[in-house]
Amino acid sequence: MTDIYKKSLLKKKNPLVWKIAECVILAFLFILFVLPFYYMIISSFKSTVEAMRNPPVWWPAQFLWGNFADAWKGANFTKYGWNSIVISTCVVFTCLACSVPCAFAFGRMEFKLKKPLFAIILSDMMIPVQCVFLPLFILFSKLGWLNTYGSMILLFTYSGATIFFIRNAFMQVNNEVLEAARLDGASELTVMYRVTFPMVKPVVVTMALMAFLRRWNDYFWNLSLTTNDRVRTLPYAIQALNAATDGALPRWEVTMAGATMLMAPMLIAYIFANKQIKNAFIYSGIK
Amino acid sequence: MAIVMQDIKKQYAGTSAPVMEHFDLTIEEGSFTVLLGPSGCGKTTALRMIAGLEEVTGGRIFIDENDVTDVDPGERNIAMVFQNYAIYPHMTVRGNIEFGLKNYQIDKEEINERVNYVLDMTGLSEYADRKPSQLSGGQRQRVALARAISKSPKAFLMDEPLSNLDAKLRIQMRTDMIQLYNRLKCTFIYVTHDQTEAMTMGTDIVVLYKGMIQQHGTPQEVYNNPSNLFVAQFIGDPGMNALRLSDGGYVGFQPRLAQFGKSENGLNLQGTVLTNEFMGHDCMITVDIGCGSIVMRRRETRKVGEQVSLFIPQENLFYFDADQNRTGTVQTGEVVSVFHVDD
Ligand SMILES: Nc1ncnc2c1ncn2[C@@H]1O[C@H](COP(=O)(O)OP(=O)(O)OP(=O)(O)O)[C@@H](O)[C@H]1O
Ligand SMILES: [Mg+2]
Repeated sequence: MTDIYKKSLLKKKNPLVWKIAECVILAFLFILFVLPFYYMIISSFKSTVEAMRNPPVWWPAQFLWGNFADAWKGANFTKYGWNSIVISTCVVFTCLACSVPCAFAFGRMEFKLKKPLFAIILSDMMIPVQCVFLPLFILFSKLGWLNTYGSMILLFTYSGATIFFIRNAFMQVNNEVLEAARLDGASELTVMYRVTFPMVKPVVVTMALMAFLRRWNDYFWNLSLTTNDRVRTLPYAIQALNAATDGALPRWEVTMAGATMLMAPMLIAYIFANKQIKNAFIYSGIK
Repeated sequence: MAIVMQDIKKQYAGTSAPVMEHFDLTIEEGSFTVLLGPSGCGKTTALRMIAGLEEVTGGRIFIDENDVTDVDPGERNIAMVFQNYAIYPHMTVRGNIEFGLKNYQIDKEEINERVNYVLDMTGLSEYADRKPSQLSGGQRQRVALARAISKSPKAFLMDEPLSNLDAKLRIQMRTDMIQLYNRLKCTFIYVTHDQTEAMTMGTDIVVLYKGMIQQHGTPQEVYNNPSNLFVAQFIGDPGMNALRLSDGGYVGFQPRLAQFGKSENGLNLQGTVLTNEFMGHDCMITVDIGCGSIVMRRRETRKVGEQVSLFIPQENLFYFDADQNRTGTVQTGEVVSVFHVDD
């Protein structure tokens, strides 16, 4: 018997240096991610001159709340905001209504051509949106669906990623529980909605949030499938704010105020759903 | 209600050989039938086919003379208790029991009545509004039982329901299960690889090995009158010792019936004590007899390394023919080797 067997496998505690290095790295990452947000929010309160100044101003002399009012009016938040809310909310419902049963079928049922069909769904995630833009535009235009809520909602109703993640969650549900439900006389639909669905709730909540977010932030499709501003949404309006000027100077602080307002609901939603989202990532085996 | 499996064949998709073939089993109405056998012999498969959770490849299954081979699990009027409880984690105890009843469109009052009755019966009344995560393993298994009972099924199917509980709780639940059976008087089909469970609870034991029924009888029959060498060696604690004879047959004896000493009338052996394990009531003694080792259980002890003589009275010897089936004919020949069915 050699001495190697006597050596404990537990490592000695990290010396102080490592602790400090760890903190420095974390602090650096924190700043890297938070700084842009900070700068956007703080810039919303600046005066036009401060917003333009170089080196940048980190704390305005005076907080100008009026910038938000200007942004609201300038970007016509009432109109575009309404469009954004209607479309994003509808997408959450239509997307989940289609994705959940689809995910259940792929995750928990056996049928012919299951694998190739699923491969098609997966491959969709690898196709850049720009490739399908033209055919879609022509399709919607022939249907007479340009400039409608319908096209905006329909487009985001299908989401391969949502199906994929919910399917993964469904696959992790213990099979015995589903069998118990079938023995309890439950139909396949009941098994899905009353038994399996509640067990993957964190994943579904996260997917709902992400569906909302995708639509809320979407600029590309919104602009591609519209020829007038009837159903255009906030990202388009904020973009248009860039044109706002004060005499000769561009009013960055107004654009920033608009961007802050655009982001606020998502930030709030994230803070509330934080725990669910973390659970979802643990659950779907990503973390 | 009798459950009949008729000429069943089962082969899982993607496997080369069937798990079972020409499998015939009749489970008597009101019996507590235990499917007993080593791991992988097809117990779970058989049970799941009765439940309808697994399709049969060939053959028919009858419950109460009705052919249920193509009937959905929920329509077979049976209830199942799973090894991992399989209770709905997001529902309360009450919700778990109600779920099944609601699916059968029973009116509210009756649901309540049934739920309260089974909660009371399983001693879960005070936990009715708890979630499964707030219950102990034993309590969870009770929920699973309560859920099964609430449906007043014709038969209860159970797949190793006690194997996740600790030893003490298992014995407690075993007693509860026997009481439950005596009270409900309906058919129980119980899968286990634990022969103590099988012996203590079952009225009928079906010993399975490699997808075939080795013996179907009462615990007494299976223990005292094994129909082949596999059953003889599988049943008992430990099972029979078997010696292969030079003429092709086998002779077997139970560890408790081997004695120290010599006898005119019986099988005499000699050997060295290998191990001596104290078991409380008696000792388990392994003896190397030259061509392998045999086990005996005696109250008197011998030291490890000691030379011993032992004998088995003629009336306690069991004979098996060359095909390992039980025979009344005395098998002759010299002892060639100690034999175990599984190797
Ligand atoms: N879904 C499946 N696909 C393929 N083969 C399977 C499947 N389920 C079981 N088997 C095989 O069928 C045989 C019988 O399995 P079964 O689960 O019925 O055994 P068991 O007697 O219940 O064993 P245990 O005591 O370990 O639970 C085993 O050889 C097993 O590998
Ligand atoms: Mg099993």
